[in-house]
Amino acid sequence: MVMPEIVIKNVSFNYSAQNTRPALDDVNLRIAAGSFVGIVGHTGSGKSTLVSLIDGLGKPTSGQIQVGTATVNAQSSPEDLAQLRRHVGYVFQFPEQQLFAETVGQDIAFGPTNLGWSSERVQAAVQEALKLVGLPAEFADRSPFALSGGQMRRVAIAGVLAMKPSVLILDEPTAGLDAAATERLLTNVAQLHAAGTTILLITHQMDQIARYADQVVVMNQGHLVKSAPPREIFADPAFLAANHLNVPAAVAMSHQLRDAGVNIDPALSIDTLADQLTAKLGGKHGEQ
Amino acid sequence: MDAVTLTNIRFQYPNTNQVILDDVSLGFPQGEWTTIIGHNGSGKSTLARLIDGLLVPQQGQITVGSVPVTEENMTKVHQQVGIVFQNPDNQFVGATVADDVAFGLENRQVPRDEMQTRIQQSLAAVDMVELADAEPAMLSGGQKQRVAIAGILALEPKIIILDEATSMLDPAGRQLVLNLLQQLRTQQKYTIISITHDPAEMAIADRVVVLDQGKIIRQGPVAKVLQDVKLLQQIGVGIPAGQALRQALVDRGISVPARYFTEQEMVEWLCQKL
Repeated sequence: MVMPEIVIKNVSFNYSAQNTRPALDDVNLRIAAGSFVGIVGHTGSGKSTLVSLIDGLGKPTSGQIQVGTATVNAQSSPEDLAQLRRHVGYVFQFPEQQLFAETVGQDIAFGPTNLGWSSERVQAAVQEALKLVGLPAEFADRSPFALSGGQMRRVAIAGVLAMKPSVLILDEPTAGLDAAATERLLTNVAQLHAAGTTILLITHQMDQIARYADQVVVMNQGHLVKSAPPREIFADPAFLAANHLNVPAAVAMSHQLRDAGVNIDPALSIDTLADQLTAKLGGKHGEQ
Repeated sequence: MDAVTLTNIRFQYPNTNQVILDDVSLGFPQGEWTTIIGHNGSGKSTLARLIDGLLVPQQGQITVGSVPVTEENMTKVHQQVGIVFQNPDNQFVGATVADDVAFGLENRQVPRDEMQTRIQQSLAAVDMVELADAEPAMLSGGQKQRVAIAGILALEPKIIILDEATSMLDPAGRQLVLNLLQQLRTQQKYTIISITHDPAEMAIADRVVVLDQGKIIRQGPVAKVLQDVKLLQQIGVGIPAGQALRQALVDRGISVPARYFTEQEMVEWLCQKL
């Protein structure tokens, strides 16, 4: 199977004809297969609208969206949109609120069963999805409602992964999770990425973007204002402020040190900052 | 003086074997802001619900002010304690912002004139006067949580409990709520208890209580408790960034004073050294 590349050409989207300001305004974007893309911006900037079009949940008012071999535009039929969705899995915000079945296994099987897969294939997909999210196989027989919040979240994600999407969209996947559950979930996502899945991560957590993304898409009032590597995005404090974005803690501290005359490169993580500082502090100790 | 006192509290949910709180004794100092941290399932939210009388312990006693939390005292307890929950959409009951704040006052049968005054004052306290007639659908999550807090302030409580009240908000919304809490703290009228995973929120409180497997494993002033990075890692809560950098340097063999560093303090310390 050819891995899809996502190409968005001159896409605009209006939720209703009366709306004066479009939710998306002439967006152009290209995402290489296997990328890890962070999508960031203020609440209401158009992030969720953009990814919902990539998932074929609606069609653009104008312009064209291509995922792999499937292409949709304003004239596309529901069948065309379904073609887009075959490539894409979308994990909504607080997906555990949508768990419904009696057992974890039945819940995860819902999507693949609807795709018309044989029961053997569905069962294999359920087991594989549980493994991907780091839950033991025995969980298949448990009630999803007897699990912790973090475990419920992972079951909901497994339900999307079971359909084997080559593009995975995650909308604030760690909201409300504690630090340990957040870490486990992000590690799972990084593993999926390493195995070749294209990841589109919507988040307000700039530390997650700095650590994992290789491309950052910045949205503001329906416009795509920048698409660039994290290093470039986080190098410009004025740009971040203008787009209501937080600065990752490591970046903020390295900027403060540079402003105070300490000669270091802007660091994206606490570890790379500590490495640079250790080299300097260690050197000084050597002189004494 | 302690605004809330728990003495030898034991709690488990019906038909389960797991003890959620195991002989917990704890005081919340009057007028201070205490955060309760611990991983999911450590008993934090249960503790909040016990203080408000939403749950009843199998053993032990809780007093709010000088009032024991018992069934017959429930009205008196609720007059003193207000809780803000996690999901802003689940606690908005009014058709407009002002209606939502009025809801609790109507339940208390506050006279109409006084009700108007209290609604105005509490909306002013959370900076939502201009949106008094707005419908919930027009509000952001942070604005809804501020309305929830206004609804509590209108009832003039002594104790405000926030159960992960900022965890579903975007950074701007979270900052609005944290700014509001900092303002309320300066008035020293309220005892604030917040349950959180957010390192920034724990760092600005006065005191931290660490719960693990139903027991208090550490408590004290923020700077003292957050100094122990190993403890924070062990219980799975986030580490404030200044402290994370201090630990990363120590791990690389640099000697850094053993105390709590905010981001600002860490940068200043480094500038002196370099």
